[in-house]
This record gives sequence, structure tokens and C-alpha cells, in this order.
Amino acid sequence: MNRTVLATLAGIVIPSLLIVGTAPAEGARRAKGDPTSVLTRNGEVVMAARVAGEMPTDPGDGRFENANPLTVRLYPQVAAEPRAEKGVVREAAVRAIHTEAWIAFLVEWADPDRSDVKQGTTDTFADAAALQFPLKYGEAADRLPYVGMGGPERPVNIWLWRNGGGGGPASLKATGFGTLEPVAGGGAMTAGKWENGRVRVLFARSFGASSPEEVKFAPKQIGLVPVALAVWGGEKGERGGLKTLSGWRFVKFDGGKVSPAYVRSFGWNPKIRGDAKTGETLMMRHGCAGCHVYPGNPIPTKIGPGLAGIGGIHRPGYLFESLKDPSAVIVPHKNYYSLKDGQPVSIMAPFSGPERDAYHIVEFLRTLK
Amino acid sequence: MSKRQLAMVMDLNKCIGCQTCTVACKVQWTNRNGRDYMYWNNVETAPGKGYPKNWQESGGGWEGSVLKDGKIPSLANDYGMPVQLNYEQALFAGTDPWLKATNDPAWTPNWDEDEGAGEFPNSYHFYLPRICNHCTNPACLAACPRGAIYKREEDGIVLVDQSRCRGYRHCVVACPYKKVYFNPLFNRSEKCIFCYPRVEQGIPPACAKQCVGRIRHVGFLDDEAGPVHKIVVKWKAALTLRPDFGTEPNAYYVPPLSSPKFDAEGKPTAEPRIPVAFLEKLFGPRVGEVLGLLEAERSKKARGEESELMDLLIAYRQEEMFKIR
Repeated sequence: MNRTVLATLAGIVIPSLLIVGTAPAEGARRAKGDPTSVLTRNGEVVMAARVAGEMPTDPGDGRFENANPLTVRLYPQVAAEPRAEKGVVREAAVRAIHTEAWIAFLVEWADPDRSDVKQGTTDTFADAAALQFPLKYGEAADRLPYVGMGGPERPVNIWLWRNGGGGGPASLKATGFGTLEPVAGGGAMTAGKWENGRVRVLFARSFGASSPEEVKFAPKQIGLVPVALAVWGGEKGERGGLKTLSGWRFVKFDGGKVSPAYVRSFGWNPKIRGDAKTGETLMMRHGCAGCHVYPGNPIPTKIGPGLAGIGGIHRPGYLFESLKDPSAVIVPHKNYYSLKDGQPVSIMAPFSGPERDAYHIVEFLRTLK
Repeated sequence: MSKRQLAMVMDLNKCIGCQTCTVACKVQWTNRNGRDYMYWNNVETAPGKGYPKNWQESGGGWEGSVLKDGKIPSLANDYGMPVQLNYEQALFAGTDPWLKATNDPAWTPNWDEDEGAGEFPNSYHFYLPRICNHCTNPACLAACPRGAIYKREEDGIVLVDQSRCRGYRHCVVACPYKKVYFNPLFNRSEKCIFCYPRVEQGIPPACAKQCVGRIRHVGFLDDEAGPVHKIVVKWKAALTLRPDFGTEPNAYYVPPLSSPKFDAEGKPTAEPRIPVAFLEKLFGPRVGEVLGLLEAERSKKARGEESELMDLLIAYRQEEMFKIR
């Protein structure tokens, strides 16, 4: 099944639910008024507070007090090699403030062991944090990129802060694991501060981008911007893929326009209500456990991506799609796919069991967080 | 695997540890810009801890088809801080009467030079020059999540693409020879490039060309007319370093013969001074066989008979040691 067919399928499934309404909608029940309220209820929205003045340059900028922090859970990256089996930073608070011209984020986490790039060393790594945005967003057709650094047709723009600097420009682009590159002529302001066992990192940029490869903000047209977070604990050797990451979250601008169809595309409205316990048993029966390692699976396999934290990192709709059409998004690792007529095809067979079982499995995967 | 493989043979029976190769490499590539501590080519004393310190125990390499975990050497403790002298105070300002180091090094290249092992009169050591092995199955290449390391089709030279590298150092961990170095100034990893800009113009790598002992032969493994093919493939007189690491190196060594061991009465025995077991650990199980071959060919030459192998290793004409086109 190719991507177009799948996208169409998703388009069929969701409206049909609205008519039939067999299960309580978690993501897309069209409420009158604010279509984003369901995301807010799920704790996925960073509300950007309107402030005045110049773009902040200091993580201690008092205007962040006007913004409510969103606590974001972070999960070790276990999809691509090398895997972050443990993961240092497991939770961060994100705040956002903005004016007519710029947006700024404050990311904050507890870190008793500060780690920066020690000048002239070979074996130390810096604490670091990154915000990730889809290059395109706002319409139902702009499906969320793969949260692990985007995918071939869904580029992401990444703002990176590294304690002590280094590592090149702060604005980067990626289309999947291993593709990260600086955006030529791009830029984002970053600054970090370590105080009383907490790291506070500021990310700021004007709404307009200096490169077409960077995310733009136009809250009047699109008032909801997907954002994901990654944090590296340098003192434990985290760098590159050794990191913790969040699932997609959403920055909301007050009074901005939001396409209800776009919000619906994030949602999950299963035709059949799955059962996690049944799903766990089915993971064994359908052979999932032979290739994917996850808590409760005694097989120490690395054939496929690890599934620990997958329910926290990925949206259920993505999990369902991955099950039915593994080639729709392939984690770029040479062991995960083969080439067929020059196109990558996942080594995982599309799920061919009963439809109901797929829903049970997704329900189980959602508990892995 | 590349289509062709350029390789180097180093004859350890001729290496005098003069470090001309080290200096040739350093002056050409690593005396600046965050590379000061790096020795893409180094010559260490064996037995010894080497450079970086204890590299043989630093992990990396292959266990079957799985990369083994390893460590990243530290600049101060394992490579050694480049020593700076107090020239200004001692020679110009006159504020210090002595010329001395301004830092207190814990390790440097050749920290344990000439120490070797064994008790007099049976003490022994030899010199072990080391470059990147430009492996056929490079662990550094496999470990890089960004695909920044590649092996050239035309000559098998392994290179770090400096525009792709982001300084994660998984390659440093993975290389069991610790021949990939992290440049802290540029936040990128760098290594011996087999002097590819020279090689592309038909000039041998600087370490080989400048070697005063004529120990280094350079050529394609499949070039029957070249010295490397003759020594490695035809005569099977050269071995790779730590073949148990599984990376299939393309730097080869002619293992060192040694003087006989003395017995309690001070009489020479039939046993070589350098224990074969030690050489087997370094160069694999064929060491004894190769040493036997070398002895046999050497006696032939001593008797005035012909020996192609000895003629190759003697290297009467330096230009015959290199065939890189």
C-alpha cells in the first residue's frame, strides 16, 4: 500500500467514525468552537503568552513568568542505532512567549551534573537540547513528520543548543535519522544557563525565516504549530541518537486560525476499541516480539526498532499505520529495509491478521510509555 | 569491499624507531588546528602500552557481525597533552632560570619508549609503527550513524567526510586500533588519509616516502607486479596487526626475528628473545611460520643464493618499494 492510498484510507476512517460514533473520540470529535481543546485536554499544548518588547536574549527573562509551563515527558531514543538504552533527562518544562514579530521558548530541566564542552578534551560531551518543527504544517495534507527527525518527504527544522557552543549553526534541517545538516544562511538564537541544579535554555527567532528550509510562524493564518523536544545529558555520553525525545506537542497562539481537519489528522478514533492486555498476548502470537524489544518481551532482539516508550513518542494513528503499512515510514537503518526497484521496503510484513487484532496491538503499544 | 585495495607493508626487522615517519606525517597534516595531539602515524615500543595508552584494551572492533563496545581515550591521560615549554619566561623575560614544561604530562606518545619487557640479558623490544589500517571491514565506518565514513572504490582508502561528521565519536569507540581522533577545535573526527592527495598524483604517503630505514612498501594487493602483492600474497611473509579484532586491516607487518635467548650460563639457546606467544597475540597464529620462512630465505641469501623475498625486503632501490598506479 503506498502513501497516497493510506492517506485516503485515513481520510475515510475518520469521518466514518464521526457518523457511526462507535467509540469515544479521543482526538477528533468535532467540538463546537475550539478544535484544539482536545489537544489541550490531553496535555499536549504549549500556550504561547503574548508579551511586548524585544526578543529575549537571556533564559532568565522575566516575561516567561507570563507563560504556563507544559511538562513534557521524554523517552530514550531506541528506534535507530545506536540506541539510548537509559536516557538521562526524562522530563522537561516548556514555555513559550511571543509578540507580533517573534517567538521564544524556554526549556527547563533538572540536571545536578552540569556538562559542557570542556575546551580541548576528547572524551567529554555537552548537555544539549533541540526543538523540532515540521517545515510544513497547518493543513490536513501536511501530516506530522516522523517524530524521529522527519522523513524523506516531510522535512523538519531543528533548533539546537549545545552547552558551551560548538557543533556549528543552531538551525538545522533533517529528513530522517542520520540526515541532519545545517541550514545554509539559517539561524535561531539559543542561550543556556545552569543554576541551582536546573538547566534553562532559551530558543528564539523572528516569525519570518531567513531560509526556505526553516519553519515560519504566521499565527494569524495558522495558530497551532507542532513542536517536539530532544535533550542530551552530556555527562553520561549522550550525543547524536543517544538522547531522549518527546512526541509531537503543539504551540498554540491565542486567536490564531486552526484548521479543524488539521487537528483531526492528529487524532485517533479507532473503529474498534482495542484491549491492551489482549494486545500484549497478540504481540507474541503475531511474531512482533521476535524482532522488537519492549518491556515485558524476554527476547533481546534488535532486528527491528525498539518499542520502549513508543506509546509516549508516537501518536496511535501512526502506530496503526506502521502496523498496516510498515513501508509508509521506515526508520532509516540499513537493517530495517531492503531495496525493491530502488525504493526502500520495510523488512516487516504488513499486518495481515484480523483488523480487531491490530486495534488490540495498538492499544498495547499505547501503554508503552 | 572496494574494487581495489592499496596496502602498506612494514618490515619490523628494519624499523629503528627514528620517528622520521611520525615527523613527516605531523608536518604534513597534524601540527595545527586542534590536531596537535594527534599522531595519524606513530611508532611505539612493543611490548608496551602504546599510543593512545593501552589502545589494545580499549575495546571496539567486531565480535562476529556485532560491533564491540569501547572507550574514548582521554586527551590528558591516554593520548597525552602536547607539552609546552616556558620559552617566554626562560629565554626572553628572564623570569624563570630553567627551560621546562609548563604542564605536567601523565602520558605522551613514547612515554614507555624502549622499555620493552624481559630481564637482562633476555630483555627485548621492537618498534611498531602504526597508521590507520584502511580496513576491509572498517568498524569506524559501520559505527557512524550518519554514514560520514566511506571507503573509496578505487583504492580502498577509508576517509571521514568532514562535511558530514558531527563529532559524535562512535568511530573513535569502534576503532580497535584507536586510529580515529577527535578534533576538539572543529568538533569532528579525523584520521590518517593514506596521503590520498599525494597518492592521486602517484606519490607515496609521506611516512613511507620519508622512511630512512626503507621499511615501508606501498602498492595494490592485486597488482602482481607490485611489491605489496609479492610480499603479502605471493610470499605470504606479512601479517596484519591484531587480526582478532575482525576489521581486516590493510597495513601489513613483516614480523620481527630476534636474537637467541641466553641460558643461565650465558650461552645462546634455540629460543628467540621475543617470545613467539607475544608475537602471536599481535599478529596471529601464522607468526611462527613466517619467521621460519624469513630465516630460511635469509640463510639462502647468506649462502650467496638467490632470494626474491630478501631482495624485496632489502629494498635496494627505494622507487621499487612503491607501485601505486
